[in-house]
Amino acid sequence: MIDKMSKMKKSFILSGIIWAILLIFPLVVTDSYIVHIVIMIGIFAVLALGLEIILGLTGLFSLGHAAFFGMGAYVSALTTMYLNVSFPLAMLLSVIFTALFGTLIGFPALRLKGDYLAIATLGFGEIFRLILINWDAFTRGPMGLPGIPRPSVFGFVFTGRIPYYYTLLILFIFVFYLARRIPKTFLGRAFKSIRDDEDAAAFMGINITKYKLIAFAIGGAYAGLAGSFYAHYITFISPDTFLYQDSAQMLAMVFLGGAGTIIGPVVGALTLVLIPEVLRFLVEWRMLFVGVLMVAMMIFRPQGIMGGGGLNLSGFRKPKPPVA
Amino acid sequence: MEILKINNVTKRFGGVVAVDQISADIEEGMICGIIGPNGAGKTTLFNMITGGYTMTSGNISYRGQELGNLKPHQIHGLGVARTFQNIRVFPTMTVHENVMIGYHDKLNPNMGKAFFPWLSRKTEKAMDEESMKYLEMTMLAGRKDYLASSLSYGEQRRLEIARALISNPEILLLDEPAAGMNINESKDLLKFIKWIKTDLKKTVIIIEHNMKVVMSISDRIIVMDHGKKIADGTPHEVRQNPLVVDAYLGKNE
Repeated sequence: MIDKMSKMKKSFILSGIIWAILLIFPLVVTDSYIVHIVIMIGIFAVLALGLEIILGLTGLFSLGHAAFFGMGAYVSALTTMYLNVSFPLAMLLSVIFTALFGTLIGFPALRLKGDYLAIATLGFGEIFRLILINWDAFTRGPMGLPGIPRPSVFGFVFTGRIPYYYTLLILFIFVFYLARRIPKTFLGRAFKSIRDDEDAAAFMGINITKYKLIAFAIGGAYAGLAGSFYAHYITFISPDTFLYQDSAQMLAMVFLGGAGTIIGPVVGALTLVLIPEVLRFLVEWRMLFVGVLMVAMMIFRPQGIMGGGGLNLSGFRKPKPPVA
Repeated sequence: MEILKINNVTKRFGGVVAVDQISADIEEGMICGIIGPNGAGKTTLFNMITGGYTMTSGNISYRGQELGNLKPHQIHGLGVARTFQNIRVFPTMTVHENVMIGYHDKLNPNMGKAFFPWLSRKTEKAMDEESMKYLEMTMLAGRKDYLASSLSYGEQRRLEIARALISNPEILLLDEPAAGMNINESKDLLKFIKWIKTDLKKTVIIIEHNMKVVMSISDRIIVMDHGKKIADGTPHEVRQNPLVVDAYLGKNE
């Protein structure tokens, strides 16, 4: 009991330190390249958290997450460019739109399981990309959308990295809090019961249709939020930004960090954005190194960095038995 | 009074007739045993009652309500809960969480409650209290924070019963609850099932291979063989029935 208390206290202090560092980070580190990397980590962390709710909690294999990301980015960009909507409203529209679309994509999920669902969502991602490319009257096709206006909130126009950083930090605190909260509520328990044994869950009174759609809606909304922020941060988007390989990368973040935990995908995003940057000195060899790292991880620690009760460097434990 | 009416129910899987024109009216407040050799169609019948399979023909009604077109979770909501032959607890969830799943649909959970702590507090508290009640009833309270997969076989069986009972069903369907239990465990289980009938006033339908178990607790026994009902009556009547003796011991040539 005492041991548990001190452990809780430790993790409380640790998370306090991390939040404090995040709070003052761009004021101390003025190198805008580094701040940019941290912002990208934040965007991918939000994306990975959304995928975690679909994949890690509910057990639905989705390989189309980049499409939700792209959808959020395009909705936000197009509404601000054509309709002169303000940034917060555009972001809200993106979130609503992707949540609705997530629900729509959830429908095949009602009938498909495992690999079949993965293939179906993969197809959805491709359809989305092809629509972006071919509907040039609206999306300018492969040329993309340059010159997305910089956000302005109450007349304050974003310049430099710092306002972006803090906006993202606030958004991240919100989505992280929500993702932490969900598994502790009946909603999270319903998700987990579907992941563990879908049929048994239905017999126990869980409306699996409803909860699968909710999982896709929440995951989609997270990606929409990230997409909207991304569009206004980079100010240029094109169909090439939202490819299958981005979906696969998000999937890798969830698994590398530890599917089924909430901190895991954040650590996964941190790792997979940071490592290629740190290894720039290896030039063309760096992606090879990332590949080797992923293979080694899956062999020696298949539950992910944070999987199975948090970081444990004292020994690589055996994975939990697979979920039947 | 009949609580469950099974009327001419048939289930075909391709050419195989798993359940062949079964009719039975289950009366309220009784323990009804279903016995029969492997492959007799007992579990298939359970799956049709609880909405897992759709019937090929026939109908099942619960208190006058047709169950044929309802989804499993809707039937659960009406008050029919079950356990499984091959244990199906949620392995990566704790014992406590497992039981709470059974109570989920009783509290009308909605999205708003999940996002705002001040709205969900009452629901979560009710779930917590109710589930502890049933964990104590099944003697699993001490295991509440264990992962369900780490429990012993007998404990997992009890967990399934707790998860079914928490929804306060009127009919409890038990699919071979004593399978894999030792003699002492199954004796305790028998007492518990009797207690469910007398004290909780539930109707219990139980599939069981162990003749001793089923004969000692059932008020009525339905015997199935090759999808057909071959006998139906009190344990004493069933034991005397020559068809049952044939099905279990083989024909006397």
